[in-house]
Amino acid sequence: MESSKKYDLSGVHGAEVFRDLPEGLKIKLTNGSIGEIVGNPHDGAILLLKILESPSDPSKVGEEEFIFYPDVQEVVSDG
Amino acid sequence: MVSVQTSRGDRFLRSFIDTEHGTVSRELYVNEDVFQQELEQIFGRCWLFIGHESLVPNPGDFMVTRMGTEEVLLVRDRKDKQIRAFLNSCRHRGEKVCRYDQGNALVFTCPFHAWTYDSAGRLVGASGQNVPTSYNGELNKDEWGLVEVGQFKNYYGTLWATWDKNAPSFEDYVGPFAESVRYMCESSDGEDNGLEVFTPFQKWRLPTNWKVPAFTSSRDPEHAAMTHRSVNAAAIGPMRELQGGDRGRRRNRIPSESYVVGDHNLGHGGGWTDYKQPGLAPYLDAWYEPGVDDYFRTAHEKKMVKYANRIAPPAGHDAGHICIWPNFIMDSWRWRFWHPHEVGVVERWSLFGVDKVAPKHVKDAVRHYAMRYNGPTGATESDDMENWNYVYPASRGVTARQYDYNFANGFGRGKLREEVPGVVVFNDNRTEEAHRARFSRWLAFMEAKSWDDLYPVNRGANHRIW
Repeated sequence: MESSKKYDLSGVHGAEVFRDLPEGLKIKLTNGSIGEIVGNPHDGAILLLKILESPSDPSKVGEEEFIFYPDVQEVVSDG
Repeated sequence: MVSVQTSRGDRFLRSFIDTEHGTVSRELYVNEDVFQQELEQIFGRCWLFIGHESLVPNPGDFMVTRMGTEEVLLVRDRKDKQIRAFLNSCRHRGEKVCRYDQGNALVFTCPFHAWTYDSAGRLVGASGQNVPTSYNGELNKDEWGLVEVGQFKNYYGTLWATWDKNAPSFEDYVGPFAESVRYMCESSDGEDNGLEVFTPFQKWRLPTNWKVPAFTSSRDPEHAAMTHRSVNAAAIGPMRELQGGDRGRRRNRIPSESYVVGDHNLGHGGGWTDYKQPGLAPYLDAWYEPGVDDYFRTAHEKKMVKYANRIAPPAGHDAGHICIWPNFIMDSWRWRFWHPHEVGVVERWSLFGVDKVAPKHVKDAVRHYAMRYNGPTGATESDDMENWNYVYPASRGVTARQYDYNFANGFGRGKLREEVPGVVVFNDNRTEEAHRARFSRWLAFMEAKSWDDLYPVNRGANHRIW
């Protein structure tokens, strides 16, 4: 999956972009997992993800998990 | 015996109440030691009114309410749709996890270290939860959920909680007043759980001790004669100036006898009406706004059918105004409760009920009536606040606190009834029996080591002191 050009989490505006990420986007985590956003409280801190790929622990696929912004590497879809 | 320290040395709490003459020391209202003991002995144990289910109708809805001096997060779970109540304090460092009064949330994230709780109070994440140099996935989330209340009850839409897991059931706690509370949750057509409350609701702080309003607003007709003289003359009832501004139009004309009662074992009390026959009297027009009487008349006719063979409970037919110990007073349309903040600061919240199914023009009319009758922008309670505000500063001086308050109206004239369980004292309908019952319960709570000493867990207890 390629990095999103629409949702750039780097730089000074990255925090605002993260806060407003819509549901349905796919995200890559620092541990290599891929997840789909299924909930965003818009507090700029956390997202609720449905895990789609989990190379280090395949049993997590299909589970929902709250993740924090430092755990996010990049957005890998443009919605 | 429990004692407190005063400017004149240690005194037993029991010595502050003169049960031979019907008086109460002002120390109970102004003493910091007494207040701190009340928080532990009373607000830490009692069932407390904390809101109404219509304030959190949807999954994820929340509101911040209070139990004593502490904030409580009331939230409807996104998954099982149940309402729960939690201490609004993060388990990590104690920061508030919710700093909004009301809203809808996916989760509650502490702004300090991002400990995050779901709508069932479970800890679901924390900043650094998986970082090898931080928690490294070793934080046991199952052990660190939000602190949930000891017991919780949804009683026909009204929400109650206690911190004490050993408290009796809510029904036992309310005792003979349960049917009246249920009645006052009915809609105008007599359906259970038929109300919703207006939101946002009224809140304001008053510089007085919590007991000033909470102990003496429970059926206190003599204050109305003076305090509300001007407002009654100004005719602010539903009819406004029509028919003399009568605000009792909705009351039932069924033959009855009215009393003031004080339940000295449970602490509840207020107005009590014995209806002499079943049924409801025909509806009387009561509203100024067009179309509102049409709605209420139709609803009332349905209720007449339901009550054709039933005698209403003692607070039925708008004869309410009962207090549920320690800090809640209920009428059929107005539910008010007092949250202590400091010995001399109390916060008053008022909820106003309206039929869930009422059309907008009816809800608007009821809301406008509530606004002009109650609250900071209303008329009646501004009168009350004037009194409550000045009672405290005029009572806390070193001279003032030496002189007891008089609670002797109707003293010695109350009677028990065999058919009413407990120690429910019936007295004339303009007496202070309900106030005295609150002090009986107050002393029992302040001296009790646990619920084992208190009625109704201790079925043999008699807490009546006068």
